Amino acid sequence: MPGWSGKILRVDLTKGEFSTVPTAPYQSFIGGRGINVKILYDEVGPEVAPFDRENRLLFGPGVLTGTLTPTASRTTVTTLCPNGIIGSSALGEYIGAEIRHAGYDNIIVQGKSDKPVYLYVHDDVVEFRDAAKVWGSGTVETPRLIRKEIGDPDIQVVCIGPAGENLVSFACVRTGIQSASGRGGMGAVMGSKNLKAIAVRGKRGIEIARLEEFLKVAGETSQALLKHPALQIPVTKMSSLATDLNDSPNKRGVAVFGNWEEVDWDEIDAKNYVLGGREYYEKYYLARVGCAGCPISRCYRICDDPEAGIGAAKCYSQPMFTFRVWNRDWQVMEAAGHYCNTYGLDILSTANIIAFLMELYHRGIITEKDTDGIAMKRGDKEAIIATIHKLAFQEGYGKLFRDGVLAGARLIGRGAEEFAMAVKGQELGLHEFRGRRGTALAQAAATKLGGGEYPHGESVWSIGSKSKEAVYPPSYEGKAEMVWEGVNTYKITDMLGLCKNYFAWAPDRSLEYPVRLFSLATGVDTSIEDMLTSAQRVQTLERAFDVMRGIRRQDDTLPKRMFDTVVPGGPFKGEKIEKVKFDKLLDEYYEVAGWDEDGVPRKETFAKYGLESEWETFEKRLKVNKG
Amino acid sequence: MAKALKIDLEKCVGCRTCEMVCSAKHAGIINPFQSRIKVIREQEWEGVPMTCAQCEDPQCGAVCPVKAISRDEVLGRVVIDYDRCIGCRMCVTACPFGLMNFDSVAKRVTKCDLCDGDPECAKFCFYKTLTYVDVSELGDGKRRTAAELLSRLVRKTA
Repeated sequence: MPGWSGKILRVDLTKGEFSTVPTAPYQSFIGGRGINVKILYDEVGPEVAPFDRENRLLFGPGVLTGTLTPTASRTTVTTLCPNGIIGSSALGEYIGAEIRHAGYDNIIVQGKSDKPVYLYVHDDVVEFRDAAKVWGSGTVETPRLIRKEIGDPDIQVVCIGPAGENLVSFACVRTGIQSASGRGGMGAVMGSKNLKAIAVRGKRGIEIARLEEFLKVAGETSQALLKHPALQIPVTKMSSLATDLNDSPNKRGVAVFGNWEEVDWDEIDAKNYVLGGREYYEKYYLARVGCAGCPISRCYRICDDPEAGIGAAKCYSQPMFTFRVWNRDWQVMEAAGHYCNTYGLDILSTANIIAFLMELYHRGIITEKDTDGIAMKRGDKEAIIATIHKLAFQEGYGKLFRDGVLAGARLIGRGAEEFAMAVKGQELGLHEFRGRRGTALAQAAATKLGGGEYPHGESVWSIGSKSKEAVYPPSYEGKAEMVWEGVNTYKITDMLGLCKNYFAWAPDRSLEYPVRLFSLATGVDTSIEDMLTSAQRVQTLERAFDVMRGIRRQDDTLPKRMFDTVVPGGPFKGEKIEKVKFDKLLDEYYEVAGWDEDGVPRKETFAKYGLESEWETFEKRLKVNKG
Repeated sequence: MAKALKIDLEKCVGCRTCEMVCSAKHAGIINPFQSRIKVIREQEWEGVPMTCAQCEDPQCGAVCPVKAISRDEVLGRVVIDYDRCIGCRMCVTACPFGLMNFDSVAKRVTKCDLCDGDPECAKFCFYKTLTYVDVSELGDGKRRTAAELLSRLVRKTA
């Protein structure tokens, strides 16, 4: 079974045992997220609660992760997340390659340890090691401590920080300094299992079916990516900011000020909002770094912050810890990002909660008495940093938000719920989308929590869409088809282990090269169409999993503010989402996806993707739920 | 004139592509553990590719009890004659840089052979950390950079 490793590792933390499962029966789900989802669907019924022993935590590097496929460094982490539906989010760096090189396609973690442990997987051996010495450590420190303890500097690690240990519903799983499986609260599930980290060292490698041709095509793919104008500056020569934070989000109209609040962009000087970036870089910038086998190799900037210490940040912390929390100081933004990463908190959810508290304070709904004496003034440094600490360590008012902004709002009462910007209980993502119907639809109807399936601006993720009308962000026309195609295209990256950034850099923005490399690696000739069908198969199961958990049409919606208020600035100023048109869009989307008017996948849809036995399970479980 | 693998440390992004390519070429499998070149990462954001220096007077060869290691002057490399090698690993002990490997999968010592004059790692290396250049040109780039710096400093103080 070249391309694949051929086996899946199963670890039972309750029993302290491990075994392997053959990959072959899961082949129609390709790999990575696909196999994760199939296993979760089979093994986690609706009676299982997120922190139960019976919940599964799945790590799925893709079929191409750790091969020479450019950008293929990713590992998708999937679980029944704390908010009660499927959670799936991918991380990069070197861990995925190491898991594959150790000879595993996926890792299933089940059960719960009595005391904190970490796993050390080296080829055929899994050691259950006492984590007492690393429990409580930050995510930058943990891999370093583990490498030292085991005595092998080449070990790769995924771990949680204090936030995961404290079961914060938006805690992430991290590779250390660099990458995070950020959205969905996988860190909390890992914490609930008393699992601090998984350390991996692999010496088995990956067999490639048609090696010579594979090497040739992988080389061509890299060279094509490397022609991108932005990659002409060598990474090590990048000493200044890659993009202008003030310019780009404002011009594209994706910036969100405060808690999606109404604000005059001219009055707040949106174009020059964040100050001190260049000066900060001159003083504290160390390097840019990327992931295994990636020609882009520059997505993380490492800075030695005078306050929060060494850390890496990607693009997300920039708008989230500036515009969103009314902060104009670059240093505060970097420090906030580093703290979140060290503690293992999702930056998007954390900044959303701070923005929410700031709005409540601004409106006089809460006072400093509600927040341990800290005034939640817009843009206030203490308010930002203190909230991050309180959330991670679950102290004081941080405890209100263990289960997210919506749960926190309900605990506060006083009408605060109206200001909780969440979909299906999880905080909204990065971009302003009231003028972008595709993003809006993707956010509302996403199968996994995490703010839609789209990591990029609407123009980038409309890859493959043939309709010009559909590509225009405020249009409602052709959006359902475009989102469906986009969702499945991006799912393929998670199944193969490619980075979603592949599409931002690849000149043809197509799946041609990745699918060819998949065929050459596995020896299974596969077309783009075949691959899309596999992605749709996975998508159907993801939705079915959520439906079994009670998700229906009424949950596929957005916070009220999205329908009641308009975009306050930028190119789509004045746009808002029309409820009637949005409902029609949802109808169209369900139709394309093969779901009924309530958002439930039809029996024919299961059959179309060869999911007959999954349908039987589905029917049975739904009946149990009703009874 | 023989050529050599030049390593510009300041250009390395630590992506470890060279390890994957090297193992694919030599072991027929993508397995960095079997690679002849290794990227050492002391800090998470640094990479230092380490591979055989192809010494003029190789210590590995000097200690070899069966004289299996010799210099190939045409390609400017140190080569192992596997017909003679007994797998005693003395060369691994002797190499001052730890660049002679023992491949526990193939059960033999391995080292960079410059892919018989067409190194795959240099072909793949995204940012030209690894280049295959004439051995007399190894110092050229550095010399020029140093000269530029010196010239600037002299002019500043003059």
